[in-house]
Amino acid sequence: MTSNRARRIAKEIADIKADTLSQIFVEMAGNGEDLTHLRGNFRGPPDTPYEGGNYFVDIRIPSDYPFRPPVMKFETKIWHPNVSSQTGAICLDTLSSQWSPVLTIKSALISLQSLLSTPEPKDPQDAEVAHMLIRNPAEFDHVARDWAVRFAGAPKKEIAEGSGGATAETIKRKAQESKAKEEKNKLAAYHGYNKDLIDRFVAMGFDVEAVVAAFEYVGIDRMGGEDYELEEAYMGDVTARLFGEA
Amino acid sequence: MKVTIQEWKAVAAWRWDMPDDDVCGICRNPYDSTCSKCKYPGDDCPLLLGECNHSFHMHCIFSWLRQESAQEKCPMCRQPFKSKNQEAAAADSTPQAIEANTSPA
Amino acid sequence: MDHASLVFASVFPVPSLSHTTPTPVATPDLGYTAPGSSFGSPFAGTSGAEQHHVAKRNSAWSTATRFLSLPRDANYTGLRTRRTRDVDDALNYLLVGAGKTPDGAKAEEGLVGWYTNEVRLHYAKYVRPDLRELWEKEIPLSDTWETLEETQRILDHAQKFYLHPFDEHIVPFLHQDASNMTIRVSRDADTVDAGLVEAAKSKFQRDMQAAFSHSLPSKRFSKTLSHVLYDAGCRLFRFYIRQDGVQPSAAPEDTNGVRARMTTLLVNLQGVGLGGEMAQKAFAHSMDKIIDTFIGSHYTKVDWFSKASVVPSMRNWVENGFRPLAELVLKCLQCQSTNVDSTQMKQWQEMALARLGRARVENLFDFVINWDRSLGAILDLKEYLKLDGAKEFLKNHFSRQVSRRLLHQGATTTYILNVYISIIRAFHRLEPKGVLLQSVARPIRRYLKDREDTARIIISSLLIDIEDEKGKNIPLNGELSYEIASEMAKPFAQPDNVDDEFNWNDMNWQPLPHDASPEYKKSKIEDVIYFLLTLWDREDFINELKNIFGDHLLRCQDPEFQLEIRLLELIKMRLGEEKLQACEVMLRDVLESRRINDAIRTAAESSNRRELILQTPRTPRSKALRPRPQKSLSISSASPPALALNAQILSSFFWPVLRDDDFHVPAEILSLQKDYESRFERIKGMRKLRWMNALGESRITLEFEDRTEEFEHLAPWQVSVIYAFQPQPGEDPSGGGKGISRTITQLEEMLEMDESLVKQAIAFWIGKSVLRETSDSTYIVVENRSSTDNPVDSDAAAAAKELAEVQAAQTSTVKSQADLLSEKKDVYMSFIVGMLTNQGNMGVARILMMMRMMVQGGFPFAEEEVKALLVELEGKEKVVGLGGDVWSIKK
Repeated sequence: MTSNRARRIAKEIADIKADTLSQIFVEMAGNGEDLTHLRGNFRGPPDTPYEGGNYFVDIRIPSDYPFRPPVMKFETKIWHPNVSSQTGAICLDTLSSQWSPVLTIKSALISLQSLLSTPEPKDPQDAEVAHMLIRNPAEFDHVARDWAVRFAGAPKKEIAEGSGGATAETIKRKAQESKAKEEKNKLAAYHGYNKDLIDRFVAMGFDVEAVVAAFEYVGIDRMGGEDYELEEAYMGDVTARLFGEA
Repeated sequence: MKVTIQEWKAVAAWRWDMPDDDVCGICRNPYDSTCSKCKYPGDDCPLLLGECNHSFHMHCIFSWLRQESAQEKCPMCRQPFKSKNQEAAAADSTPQAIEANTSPA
Repeated sequence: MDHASLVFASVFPVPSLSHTTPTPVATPDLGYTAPGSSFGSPFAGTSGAEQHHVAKRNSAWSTATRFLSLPRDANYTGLRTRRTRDVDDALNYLLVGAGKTPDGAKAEEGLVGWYTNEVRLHYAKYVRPDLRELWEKEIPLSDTWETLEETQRILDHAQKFYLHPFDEHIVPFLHQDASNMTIRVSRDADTVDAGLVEAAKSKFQRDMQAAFSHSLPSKRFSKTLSHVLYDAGCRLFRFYIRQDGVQPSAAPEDTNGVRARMTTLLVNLQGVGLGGEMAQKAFAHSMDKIIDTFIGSHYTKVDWFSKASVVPSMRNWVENGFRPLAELVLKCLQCQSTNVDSTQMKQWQEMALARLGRARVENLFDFVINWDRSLGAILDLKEYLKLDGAKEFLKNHFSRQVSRRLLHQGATTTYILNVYISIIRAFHRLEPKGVLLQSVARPIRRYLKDREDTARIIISSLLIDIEDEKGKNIPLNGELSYEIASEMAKPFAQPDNVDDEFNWNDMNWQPLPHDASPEYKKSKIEDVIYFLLTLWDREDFINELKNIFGDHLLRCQDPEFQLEIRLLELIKMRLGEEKLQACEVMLRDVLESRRINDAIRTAAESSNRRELILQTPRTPRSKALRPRPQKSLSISSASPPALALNAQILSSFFWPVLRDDDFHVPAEILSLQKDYESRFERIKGMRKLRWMNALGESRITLEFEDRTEEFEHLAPWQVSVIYAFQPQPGEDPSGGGKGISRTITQLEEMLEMDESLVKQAIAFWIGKSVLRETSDSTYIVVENRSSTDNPVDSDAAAAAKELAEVQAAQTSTVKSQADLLSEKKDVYMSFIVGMLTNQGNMGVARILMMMRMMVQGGFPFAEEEVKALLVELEGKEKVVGLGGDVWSIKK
């Protein structure tokens, strides 16, 4: 039933729109009536040649969605081993064999975003690009950056080459490390609370620390890091605490 | 004075006994609602709890398991999906049978 | 003399100017007269060469004018008949001979001209005063005929008097002159001859009649004539309601007499020159009024009985009543064409139709209210609408009537709905394509949409069973619309599968009106319910429907839910099935609940049979405390069908937010619920039940010392409260001889019930004379009616009863949005204050968005509610509006 698929898609779009934190956007392509043809966009991840670029993705929802993955391809030209430099076609297991119906358009876009920071030249979509990344990482970085500036509107300053002779691979590794570290730090800041749970309060404009402190002050159960709905009384207490009333 | 209650019509609301977050991961509808294809909740659109403790509307998970790409794995944890729900499993032995019963002709 | 001066002269008798009086027989002293010149002649004093000619002419002139001069008195009946030879010669000389017209003189100054002036002068002096006297005073409507007839008589007499000398003494000479002149010209001399004479004669007549008509006050004459004709019309057509205020005579009119009198008068007026254009205008004016009067007469009264249009009979009247009259009048006035052609007649018919239509439009609102007795009037209007501009007129006027008479605060929503339905029905008949309806209904729909009780009244009304035998007694109060209910009772309309536009066999097919709007085709205009259901956005309506439907299902007494099933089918047909899932689930829940109850009862009975039947009293302690064990023993042995619990099992997700007060139900019910619950959970795996004790109903028997009473349709909280007045374990059942008493606080604690609910229940039982207040907030069971039967108590009971009823009426099973809002208001407000403190100034839209995202359990309200909260906070001086919907915390 198409109307049911439409219902889920509409719900997903609403979710994405409500979430201003992840910086993932989606809109209806074309005239705005067709829920099966969307356009998503996100920022190139930091510490990559794609940083600061704005990447558009064409999304087509198959008729048996969510049992089959959405069909995605880059609209913005991008120099990346897993993306065709000609057509924008993407090679990502999440969008093919590893698709699961519990995934969403948003999660797929996030996967794409992280694919930009973790290229996989061994399973390339574009052999030429992959070859360059393996053989001449510096040139790869240069071209990728150049394309980001030319096609994705990234700022001109060369981020990747600032560190003086570093190869793409080391940069990449560093980037990954720092990212992982950051993630870790970030998660650590949650003090064992579920990230989404805390983030709902963060979205109101509070620091993670403040929210976590308020949670601990009120004595909210960590529930083993699971997300759950707070009881109203607790909810009230936490907000009150956050707003400095208690 | 003595009170004798002759008749008592009560009202009760049922919910699925689900501790977890209350949305079916596949159709994104609440468990207490129906899957995307059903009109009536409850008996007509039961839940199926996997051994991995992930649950879905039965119709949703069967639709997934019928996909070749599913490889009979739970969409959440990618472990092989086995029903923990004895009644539901007993009521209809195979996913295909249930699908045949419920999908619109 | 020019024409204008002549006319002037005729009106103002100044016998000077150039007109000469006839030469007197006795020569007066004229002063100086030149020798050889004749006195009195205007031609005196010409050159000597013409002396002889002039002298002769002067002499002839003198003779002729003396002969022709009219008598100088008012008594102008005597006529000279004989001419002497002198006179003959003189006339011959002046009219035929050399003395005809002097050179350089105008024609008027010939003898004919002189006579004409003589007539004018005579008329002015001797006839006009009579007429002036006649016309001077106001002419009462009753005298119009007589005045005209008298006028005509006077003029007729004068005319004959003036014409006679002309015919006798001038015309013969004119004939002779004409034949002299034409003898050589043509063989048709006689004809030409006669023509010339006729011309002269008719000129004379014209001049004379001009004097007549100029001497009458033309406007008043015209009005008088017009009234006479109108009066004749009214009498001929037997109009009872006249525009001139004249009461028609009770006796039947002698129409032939009226017709004859009118004909005579008109012919005679024409004869004295008072016909012509002036009379035709008067006639046109009267005909106009006659049509108006016809439209207002009994002939065109709305046909309330056979409900037919009066337009055909109106057309018939124009053709066979009005037209002959018009033709008769035109004939009398000697108009050129006395036949009314069919184009002219059609114009009259259209004119009459236009007036009829406008008269109907003025009362259209009343016709709508009296639909369908007013069908005749609507059919009249249907004819009227074929005329140009009619639609606009109807639209504008009816819209004005609607806004004045319907869309105001004084009209109840039910009344507006009923009238709207009548409008739909009447306009469907008026213009089946529905374009007019669409435009007149727009403001009504907008108005209804803004009234908050509209949806509730519509839906509740759709759910009344007027077919019910008891239906006649249904209180069709302000909250229910019989019109809507009766629409519901109609058989289902044919599904709209057949597209009218492509039904080639439809002989009544009409093209779409040119003014149809684009969405026009979508409207199924015959379907009243469709119109009502589409007042709102579909979503809004369905939400409202969900609330009312849920509430209704829980109260419904019909175990088959026939009306409810039907209503849902009906709404599905109109709004589509997709959005109605919640309603369908609710309906199925209540239907399914019976099966679940049966299944659970069967299971319970079979297991009970296995157990011993030792549990007869479910609450053993009550047995121990029973005051009269003998009776209760007989009851328990005689009532093997133990109390069973019937439950409505709701799929909570699909129901509206229901009342959910929490309190302790009687112990025996609690254990039944536990039992039910466990069996339910066994049958329906993985599901749990939550009892909603605020809902449901019960029937109980109360046994007092002096009586036993049964109560039905009680709410669980009412039962719980009275149940608590039974002795508790260890409590003295007699309450120390005074009976058991409880205070509000005690009950609150015992039952863990809200104070307000406890109070409501207490009020209810006081109203039933089951409880009475002993002291402040302490209540006791009325065990003996007789002992406490004092007037104070019964007054109190009556008051309490009233209160309880009012409160019960306000108790709905569904929580309204407003209830929800007020319940959570504090949470919302502190959220808003916190957010503004933390985030700085914010717009309403953003506040709403944040609240929707952040507030636990969602924020099911719109900007309006946010604004209301902000305004309230402003009142508490916590926030300030910065304008443009932006708000800030108050510093």
